[in-house]
Amino acid sequence: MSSISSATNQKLKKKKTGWERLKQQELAAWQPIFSPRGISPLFLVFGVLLIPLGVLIFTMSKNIQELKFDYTDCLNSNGDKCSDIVQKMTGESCSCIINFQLEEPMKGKIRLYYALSNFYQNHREYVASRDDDQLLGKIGTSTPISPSSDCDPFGIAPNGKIYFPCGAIANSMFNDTYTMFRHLNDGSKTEVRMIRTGIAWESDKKHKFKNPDLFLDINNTKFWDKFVQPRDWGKSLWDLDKVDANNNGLQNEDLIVWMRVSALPNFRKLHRFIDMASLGSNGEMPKGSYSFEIQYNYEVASFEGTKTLILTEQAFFGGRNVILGIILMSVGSFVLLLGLILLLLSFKRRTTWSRGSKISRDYGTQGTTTVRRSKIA
Amino acid sequence: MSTTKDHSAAVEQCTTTTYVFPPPQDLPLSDIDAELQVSTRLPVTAVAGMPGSSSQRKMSGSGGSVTVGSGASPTRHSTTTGGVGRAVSPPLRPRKASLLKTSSVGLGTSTFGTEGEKHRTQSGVGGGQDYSATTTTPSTASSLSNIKDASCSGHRVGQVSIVPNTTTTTKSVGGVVINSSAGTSCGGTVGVGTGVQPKIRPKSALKGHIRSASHGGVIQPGRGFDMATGDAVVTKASVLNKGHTRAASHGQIAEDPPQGLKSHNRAPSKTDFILPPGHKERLNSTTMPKEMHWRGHSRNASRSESIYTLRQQKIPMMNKILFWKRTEVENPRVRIVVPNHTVPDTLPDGVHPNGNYPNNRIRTTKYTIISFLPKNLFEQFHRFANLYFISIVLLNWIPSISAFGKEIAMLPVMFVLGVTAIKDLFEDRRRYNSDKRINNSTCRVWHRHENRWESVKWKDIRVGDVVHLSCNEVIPADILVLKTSDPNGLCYIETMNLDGESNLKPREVVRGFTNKHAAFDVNKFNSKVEVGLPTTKIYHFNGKMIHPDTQQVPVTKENLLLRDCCLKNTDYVEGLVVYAGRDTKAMLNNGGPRHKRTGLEKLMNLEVVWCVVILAVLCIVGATGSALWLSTFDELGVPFIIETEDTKEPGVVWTKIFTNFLTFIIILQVMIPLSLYVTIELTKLMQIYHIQNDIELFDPETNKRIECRAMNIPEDLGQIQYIFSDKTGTLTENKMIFRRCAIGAIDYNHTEMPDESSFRDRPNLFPSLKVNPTLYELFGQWNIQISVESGNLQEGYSEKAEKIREFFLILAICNTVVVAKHPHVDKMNDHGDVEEPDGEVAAHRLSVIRESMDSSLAGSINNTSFTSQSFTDFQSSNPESRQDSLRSDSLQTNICTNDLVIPNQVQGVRRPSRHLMLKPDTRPLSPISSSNETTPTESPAQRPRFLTFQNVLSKKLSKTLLLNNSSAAPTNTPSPMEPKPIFEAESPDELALVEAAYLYNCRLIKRSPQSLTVMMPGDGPVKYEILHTFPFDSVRKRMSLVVRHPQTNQIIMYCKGADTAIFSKLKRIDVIQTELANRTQTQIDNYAREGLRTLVMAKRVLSENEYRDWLIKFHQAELDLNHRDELLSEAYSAMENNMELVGATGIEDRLQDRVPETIEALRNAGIVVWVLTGDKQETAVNIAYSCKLFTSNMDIVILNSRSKDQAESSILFYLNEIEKIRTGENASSEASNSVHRRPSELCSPLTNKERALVVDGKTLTYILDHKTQLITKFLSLTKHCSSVLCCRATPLQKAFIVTSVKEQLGMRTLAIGDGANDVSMIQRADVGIGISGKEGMQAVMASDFAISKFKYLERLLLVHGHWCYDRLARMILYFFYKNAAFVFVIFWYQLLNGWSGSVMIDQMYLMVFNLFFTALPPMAIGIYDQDCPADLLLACPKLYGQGRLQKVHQAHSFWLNMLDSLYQSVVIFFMSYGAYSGSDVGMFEFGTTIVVSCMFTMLG
Repeated sequence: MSSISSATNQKLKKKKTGWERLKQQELAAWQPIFSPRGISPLFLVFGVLLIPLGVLIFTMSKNIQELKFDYTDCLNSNGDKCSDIVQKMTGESCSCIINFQLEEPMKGKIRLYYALSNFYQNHREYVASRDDDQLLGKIGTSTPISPSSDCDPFGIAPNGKIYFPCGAIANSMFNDTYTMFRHLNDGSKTEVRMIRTGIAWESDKKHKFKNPDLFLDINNTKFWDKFVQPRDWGKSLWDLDKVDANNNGLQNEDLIVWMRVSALPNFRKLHRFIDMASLGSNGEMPKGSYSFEIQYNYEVASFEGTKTLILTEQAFFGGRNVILGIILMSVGSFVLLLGLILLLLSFKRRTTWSRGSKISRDYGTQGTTTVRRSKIA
Repeated sequence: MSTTKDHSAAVEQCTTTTYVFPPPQDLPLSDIDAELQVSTRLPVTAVAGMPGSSSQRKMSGSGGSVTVGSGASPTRHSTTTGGVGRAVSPPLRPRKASLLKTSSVGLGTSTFGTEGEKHRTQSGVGGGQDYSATTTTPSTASSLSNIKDASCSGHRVGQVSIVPNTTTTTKSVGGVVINSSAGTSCGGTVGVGTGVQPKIRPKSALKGHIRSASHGGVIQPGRGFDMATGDAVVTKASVLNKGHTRAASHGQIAEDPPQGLKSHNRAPSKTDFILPPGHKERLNSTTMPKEMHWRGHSRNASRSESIYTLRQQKIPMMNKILFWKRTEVENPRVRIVVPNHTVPDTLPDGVHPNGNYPNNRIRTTKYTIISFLPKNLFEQFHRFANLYFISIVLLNWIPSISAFGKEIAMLPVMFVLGVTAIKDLFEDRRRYNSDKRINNSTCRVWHRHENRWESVKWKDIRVGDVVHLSCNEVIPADILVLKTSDPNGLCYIETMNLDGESNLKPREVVRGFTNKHAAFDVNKFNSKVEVGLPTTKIYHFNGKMIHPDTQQVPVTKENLLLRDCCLKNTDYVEGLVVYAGRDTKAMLNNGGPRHKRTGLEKLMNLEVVWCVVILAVLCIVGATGSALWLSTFDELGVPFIIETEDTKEPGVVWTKIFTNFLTFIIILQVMIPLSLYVTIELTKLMQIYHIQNDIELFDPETNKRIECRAMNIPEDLGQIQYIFSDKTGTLTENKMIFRRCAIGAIDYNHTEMPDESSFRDRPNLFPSLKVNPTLYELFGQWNIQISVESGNLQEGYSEKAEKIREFFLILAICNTVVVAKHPHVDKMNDHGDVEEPDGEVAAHRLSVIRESMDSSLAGSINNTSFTSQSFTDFQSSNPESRQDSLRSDSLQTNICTNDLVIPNQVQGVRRPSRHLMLKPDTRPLSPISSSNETTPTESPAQRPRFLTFQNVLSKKLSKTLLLNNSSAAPTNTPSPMEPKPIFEAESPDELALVEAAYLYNCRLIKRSPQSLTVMMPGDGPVKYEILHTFPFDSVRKRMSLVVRHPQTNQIIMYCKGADTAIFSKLKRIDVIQTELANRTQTQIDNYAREGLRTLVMAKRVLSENEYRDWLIKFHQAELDLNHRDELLSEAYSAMENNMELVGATGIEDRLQDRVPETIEALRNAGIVVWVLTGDKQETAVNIAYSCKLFTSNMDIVILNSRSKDQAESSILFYLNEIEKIRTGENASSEASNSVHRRPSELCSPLTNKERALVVDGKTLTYILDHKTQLITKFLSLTKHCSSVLCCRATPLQKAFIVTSVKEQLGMRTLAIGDGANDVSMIQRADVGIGISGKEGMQAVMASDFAISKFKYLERLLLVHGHWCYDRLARMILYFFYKNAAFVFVIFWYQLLNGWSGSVMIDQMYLMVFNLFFTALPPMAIGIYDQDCPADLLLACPKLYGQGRLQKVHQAHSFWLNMLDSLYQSVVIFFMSYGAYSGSDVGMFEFGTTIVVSCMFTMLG
């Protein structure tokens, strides 16, 4: 290069700003080089971190009490299978009772879940079968807005009325009801009250579900001229919670919970909290015998599903989750093992595994063998 | 060997092709006769050989304005025997001769000759049959040929247009000498030189000649005339057999048509372009001529009809459809052009006779504002991926599918389309700006009302305008020449921009025009012109001019100035625009921008196809799964299966499954990465941006940085396997520098000027050479000697000086250099005003300039008083005396060229104006100012151009003068006022020699065919009579000049040539001579080792007797028809014998800066470097050594074959040899499959060395001929060679080589070149690089990258290419990986949702995942990641192999990535599933978890 050009270059290099360096691709950079020696400490650290975490979660999960009652095939007082009765679709109600013994007192906020299996709530068409506008109460002022076509065939009833709420999700809402009793030693039983609210996501309740303004009057005949409850519902929308007006209609949390479709075909959904006050104890559910009286309405035999009632304590990471702990532990030990192997390897082969040496190895040059530093002159 | 070779020099000067326009197809013979009659009315000046005379003959035609020399008759044309006179005498007397009369005379006496002529004429006809129709009778034939004779003297007769000869041959047959040659004195009859090519052998008596000996092709032995009988019937046959000749001229092998009279007629509509080797017509031919005659000789002479034809084969389909009918119907294809000034302005366009022709505005942009959107979208949808995405979007609109929001689904596609559209818009805008610049440059057009020339923008020029052009002005449209400053009506154009030939081509005023109007006056010009419709054929043009008196004169391509060419060597030209704008041949040959696809992109497209396959598999699995899943529920009333009434019907089930399939396509579409395309586009854009901004690629000398013209192929720079480089101007500077000389075995070195590098690249500068003081002193001593001893040369040490004197004399005269005494100047300024200063003013200016020169020498450059003063003077023009002044100008021109001493006044006038005209730096397009607004005519002194003048003057002159002064002793310093003459040489070598001699004050002043004048110090001008010129040919490897000394009357032969060619011919009588020769030989060897081109000078003094004896032999040789070439060659050799050694020179063809280093680095990087050059073999090999393409420890394999068989056998021989060695080696070492990866290691040939291959153009012709099937073998041979050198390659051969390597070897190629002759090569290669050097902009315009020096190639490839490839390859893989992983995750989810195609991820996330979430990191990789720092890459060129061998992105890397993504997706999904199983997780919570973990994994 001629003297002029190098002079110019030098001149230009001197007043190189950050932007200039970016343009010349000379910004400082760091690139990790994955040599065994560099990598093994990383692995070791991860292993060391993960294993205790896994153990912690595992043991804590183990300590969480969780009671599951599969009542799919429960019998009613007549000794008939409730599932059969329901399947006949006679509208006949069936109730069965589950008795259980609590060996250890349950602490904290005790939750009641119902769990369904083999219920593909995540099915594409099922997931889409809802009308969010309708759920927000936008049903029109004088003339009703017909529901989105997504709801079909649960959009408009054969008699021309609009299903409210429309769609397959709402239509298939889980409608078993549970009543819990505590059996005292004297043979008497007291109802354990359960809290119906707080089970849905706050955001859902606030932003996704809203009762229509116009037709707040439940008995508004004008409303029921146009709308009808979902086909498979035995009751009207306004009968979901007759006690708490804020938890009624579209804003009913049971509905909201149901409408939040589950990701997996075997899922549980939060149903109730146990009202500790009704137990009269200080924050724990004392051991003893209890029973659930179940109003068996929901039909699962058609898809070979099961229904389970779950009573559980709660830990900081949610409910009982043994698998997470196991995963963490196994990954941690795997990483730890890898790290050790690499460490051994790197001690065995004392060559420096740097970029430069790799180049020299691959291309037979004795060029600069140092690991790249950012600035290139 | 044919004589043609001997005339290469002349060929250089006057390369013109032979064209005859076809007359109307079925023109009856009588019509021809009639037309001939008509034409005879023209004033005629005919010239033929004149017995016994060797002086220049001048005859003026009756019109008085045509002066025709006897062609550029080489000296030997004086050898006509006395008997000839009879035949030729008619044209001798200048008179209005009836041509038919003339021809009848010719017929009687010169049958052979004329037939030969006619034959030639015929061979020039592209279509063949048109012409043969008119020449079926012997009488016509011969008369035609006579007409053609007349054409030598500048005639066009009737419809028979003249065939200008590309070669200069003197033909004498049957006692008639038809002597016409277009030798160096093209000034006389350039372009119309004719002659029979006497390539006649006893056995192949039927062989005639085809036009283009100089085309670098094989001359086709056509069917000629029977020499033995002279029977015209045979001629007829030959005539009919023609029309199949053209391909011969393009480096192709032409064949003899089969036996008999079967003529191979070609439809006239067909392009007579070079056809690619695979052209079908060639298959028809059967026999290959046994013997081929190689005539191509000079680089410049190699001709192609159009180097652009390669890319112009296709007519757009639309046009074909739309205009099919029209082209068929419009058979009489003519356009009539009427001069615009004869038509009233008020006529509307529709009525105006020229109104239908397009104006001169050009548009090379792809889009207009209106057409942009539809056209761009249309083009984008051509891309498979875009179509795919659009169809996906459309799928979304099917109601039963609608997996996502339809509108959202459109978003990404719109984004991609939008970004691409904006990019296209940006690119098109560049073209628009360039168009605008061109359209707005100005040119002078005759304005009828104001009766003056007016400067008009190019775009406003219309067909029918009369245009005035000055020297060095770029021609704005295709223009018919009506007037030139030359008294003979000649002008020269440089067609570099069009066909890459840097030689000058003569053009002449329309025949008969100069005679008709003594001085062409625009206002009086009212003839119509009828020309053919615009075609792409550059060398095809015909038509006629219809004068008001119904006289018709043919016009041919010889009269046509082509757009984008440059007017040279002519003061000014005036002409009529016949084609404008898009109709011009330049524009018709200008193909649109191409789209190159890179190797990586091709691989990627393949992988996209694989992605599609994977996608299809996934979808099919999904659909099957959904069918199976559905079948598990056989009852109605499953709450999560939405029932329709008839779900159970089989048809419905199938519909459902199909819908599911489509749904899967939609949800898994991410598999084909939409954003990949847009990311790649953006990344490449940024890469280009960084390349363009690299300070290391900035050339401070030319103030240019790298220009990236193609946006989409930066990564190909990193994968180049083959480099094809032009030599001249690319590797070398093409500037010969006289470096060393040995006179009397004493070596004189000439060192470089110290500050040479600073103005190395400035053209028009005096050669940066320092005079050797010793030599100068010796030379000077002689001067003193002679002045003291008054001419006594034999005394004392003056013998040494005498030798030096001889040496410089040879340097100065033994060549073909033509001297232009003054730069060409046009008195008309940019605005059409004629500037004619009177004598007084001129004298004043002279003194002023002298003053300014002094001041500039003294360093004070700003001499404002001078500038304003002289410029005002310069502006003082006298409108009234315009015509007079123009006339007097031409008078002056005459004086200048004919007189030895130039009147100072004239020089003074011309000097400043030269600098006014030479402003190529500031305005490359046209020397004329393009903005009128900034140059008010009222205050001329403030014109900006004057400042330019001042600057240029002070800068350039001062340098020139400094050089002169520093070099020359004060006494001998040429007066600063004496302008250095402009030497026009055929080769830069000769120029270097002449310039060197000039430095030593031994100056060539004038050269004409008959004499030359040289100024020797102390002697004053000496006029030598040239007796003979023996041109250079590659067998003799020398050229000679026989002159008669004016004073001593001695006959001296001066010879110059290669050392091998001369040393054997030296007179070795005494010991001293032998010793001298030996010592000189050693010196020459030393020169060669330094990489200099060596030449040896010798002389021979002949006695009158010797000369006379030889002359007889020579005449015999000339007259011998059968063995002419051999005998002539013998005669030359006889003369070039017993010579006396005078000296030797070493000329440096300087390599560009850092070329050897660059080539070495590239070769170390494993790139195979080929050099394709038009130069001759010796030169090329020389350069190859000096630029380290060849090293001394290489075996050079040379393929110089003269026949197909020979070529084949030699290739096979070498292949066998190499195979032997390889097998021998393989026994010991196993690595063998990577032959061309590391040719250096495996090529251990005859010896255990690397090999280099040298091929010459002739051999290439055979190799590239598809019939020989040699190309495969040749390529496999080249695979064993680390470097290849192809000499004498024509532009098309270059392109074919590149194409073959690219396609047959499947290599990624890079072509680099600077000239327009490299254009086709550049366009063919995967990456085309143009050197923005001196030779025009064609190469740059065609290239993908333009660099200013070859050395930047190293960094461009090794650093940026490597980076770009590495980055993009990894980025693409990354993209595939992340998309595949994403898709797999979604796919796993289908296991859990009944294959219903639902997606746990929110649709918005899904859509923008690629676009926004994960687009930046790949782009960061693509733009900024450096796997290696630049200095390391430069230090280890082998790292380039990573890209060259595609190590980063290999075929299996895709599948590895797929496996990896599969694994990762499994981990991600099933871990989450495990963690969440049985929990109350909602679908979108789950989805979000998955997305987040995906992002962590993919970005981490």
